[in-house]
Amino acid sequence: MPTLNDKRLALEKLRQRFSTSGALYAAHGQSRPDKSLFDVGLFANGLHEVVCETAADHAAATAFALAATVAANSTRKPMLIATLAGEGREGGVLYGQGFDALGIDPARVCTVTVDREKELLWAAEEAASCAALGAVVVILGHREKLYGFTASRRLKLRHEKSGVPMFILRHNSGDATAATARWHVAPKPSRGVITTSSSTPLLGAPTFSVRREACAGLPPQTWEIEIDATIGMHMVAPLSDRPAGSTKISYRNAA
Amino acid sequence: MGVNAAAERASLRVGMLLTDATAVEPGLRAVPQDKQGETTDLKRLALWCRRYSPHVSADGDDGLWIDITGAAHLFGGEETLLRDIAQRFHRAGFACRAAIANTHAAAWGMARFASSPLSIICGGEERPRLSTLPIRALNIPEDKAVVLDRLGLKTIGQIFDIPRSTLRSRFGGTVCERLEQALGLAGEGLTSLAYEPVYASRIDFAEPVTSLDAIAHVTGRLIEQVAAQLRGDGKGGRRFTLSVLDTQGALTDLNLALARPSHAPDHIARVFKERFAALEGRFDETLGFDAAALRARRTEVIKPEQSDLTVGGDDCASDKHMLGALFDRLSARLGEGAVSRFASLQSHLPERASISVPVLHKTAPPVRPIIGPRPFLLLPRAEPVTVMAELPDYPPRRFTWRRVHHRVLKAEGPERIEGEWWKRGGDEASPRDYYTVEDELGRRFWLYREGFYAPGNDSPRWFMHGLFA
Repeated sequence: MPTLNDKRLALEKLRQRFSTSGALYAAHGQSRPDKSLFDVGLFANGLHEVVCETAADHAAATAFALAATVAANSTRKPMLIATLAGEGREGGVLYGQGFDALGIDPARVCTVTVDREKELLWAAEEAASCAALGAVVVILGHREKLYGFTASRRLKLRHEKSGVPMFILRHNSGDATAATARWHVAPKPSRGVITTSSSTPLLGAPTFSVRREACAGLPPQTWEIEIDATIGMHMVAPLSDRPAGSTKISYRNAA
Repeated sequence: MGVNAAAERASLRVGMLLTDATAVEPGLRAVPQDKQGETTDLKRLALWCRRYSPHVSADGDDGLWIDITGAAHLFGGEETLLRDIAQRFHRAGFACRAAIANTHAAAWGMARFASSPLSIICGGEERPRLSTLPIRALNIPEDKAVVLDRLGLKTIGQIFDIPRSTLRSRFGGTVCERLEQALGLAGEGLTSLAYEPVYASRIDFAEPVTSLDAIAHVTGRLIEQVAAQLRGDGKGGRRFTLSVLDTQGALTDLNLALARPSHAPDHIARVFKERFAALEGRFDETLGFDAAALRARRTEVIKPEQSDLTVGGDDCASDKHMLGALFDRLSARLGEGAVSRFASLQSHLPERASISVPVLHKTAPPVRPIIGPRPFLLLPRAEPVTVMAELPDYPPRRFTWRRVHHRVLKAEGPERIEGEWWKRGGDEASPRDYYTVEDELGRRFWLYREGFYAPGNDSPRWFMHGLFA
């Protein structure tokens, strides 16, 4: 007769097995990002700026900022996303059912949609001082006017008091700010999946090229990072210069 | 259920089968009954009737009773009062019948079954006036009424002379009891609508006040008073209204909603401060204000919470408080609709399936997990794209969206989503085939083709609907 303790041990073993082998389904917040990413400084508690270089990269940079909160928010507290209403008409509005794919539970997301940048920064400051939040993502507009050193300093001071991880999505990165780190994000072709049943390869996990800049004492560097809803963010090993879609799966053999 | 005057003229009656009714009057328009709406409206009418007497209540599905004992003379006597009630209801668009009697049961019968729509029974007249009314005017259960009917006892007068003991043994206690209640021989317990406590406070200014700051200051005092009232009853307010009366006599209302019921003056004052900040420059203060009043419109009981004494213990409760306070401040300044969370509707159409609901609204159906890819950014309206598809029913090879060309290197799909053909006018919506594609730079899109490739339709339209990571 197994004791309660035995059962617990068995459960823990199972959990570990699934988390390493990449189970088909894992509960939200159970995913564990690649350990090496912690060394990179991406999940260091602070005020992070995620910069997208072109308007076309907006979706990728937003996804990256959102997915980065999952690892930064280990306590599974609710997260807050502040956006501008006008940007949504161009770049798309946040859509709840798509959050699962980023590893975020849509039930734990609260969105704040405002008309002007002044209100956006005010809302961000209010959120930054609320320790009950797990993470705050602020999506600035294409033409930011008020965000700069002073605004970022104010946010950082509030963040230091509450300890809420902050991610700020920007479209330009000219001036210096008080941010802990700045990340330039651009999409990369994913490692596709070739099947015998279709002529075009299937989509792999979303991949980003991420360049670290202005991170306290660390030199600029570029990585390739993948997001997987189940196992979290992880680095893509740049072993060789392979063409896209080189992982070959034959369903006949797999069966 | 009910029928309007036109239907009544066409000899339709309540209780008819719809098929029978349509056979009698082919032009009949049937509308589903809104039972809950009727109940709320009846209750509101009952509350309005408090202008006649403090004791009023809704009676059944379609009646109101007012206890006018000692109140009739204020309206110029019973007859004038009755006519006044009828007139006001008619003006409001309600058909009504009314009766005044010494007993509630007699008034009930007269109002519903008397030949004239308005009737008054003076004291001692019950017997002769009630005797001609049908037996159902006693408000007895339908099965009892059917039995009495079958025995030929059609009017109340016919059962007056039957000895009470016989009546009781033959037809049960109810008939006998109702008869005695109608004649005033037995008492009848009635419950009038309870008054809900009002949590409000008001300050009149000796001199007109002309600045928003002064109003904000006064609001602080009003909040303290109202919060003290609420705390005394163990309640917290969720909706507040601040009304300011300007010197022209116009009333301006300022509404406030809280995420959690609160009776903490500091918190309410802070939320009001944000509300005032949002008003800056949009508020005409030149006229000056004469008075200000604060009222808690919706209140809820606050359960006292055990404060946490351990250091670093479970701080779930304080987290909830902090979140509630944050949502209050954000909603007060930015508007209730600005702070929202995701919810879902029962629909397959992506643009309808997931919606945003203000956090201050209590109930929201949670987001249902869905099999199949969904973008995290959805375009408010699907945008047309020009597409080169290799073969019918295959994902596109190239497409142009917002004047930018994209070459598709990887694709998945299709996922077919049917239009809501069961809805009115929904049959025009053709099914959509959704594809997830990735272009040469790694950008991901969610596009769909409207309709099928068919002999008459060799170039179906394509739309861009969402963006992926």
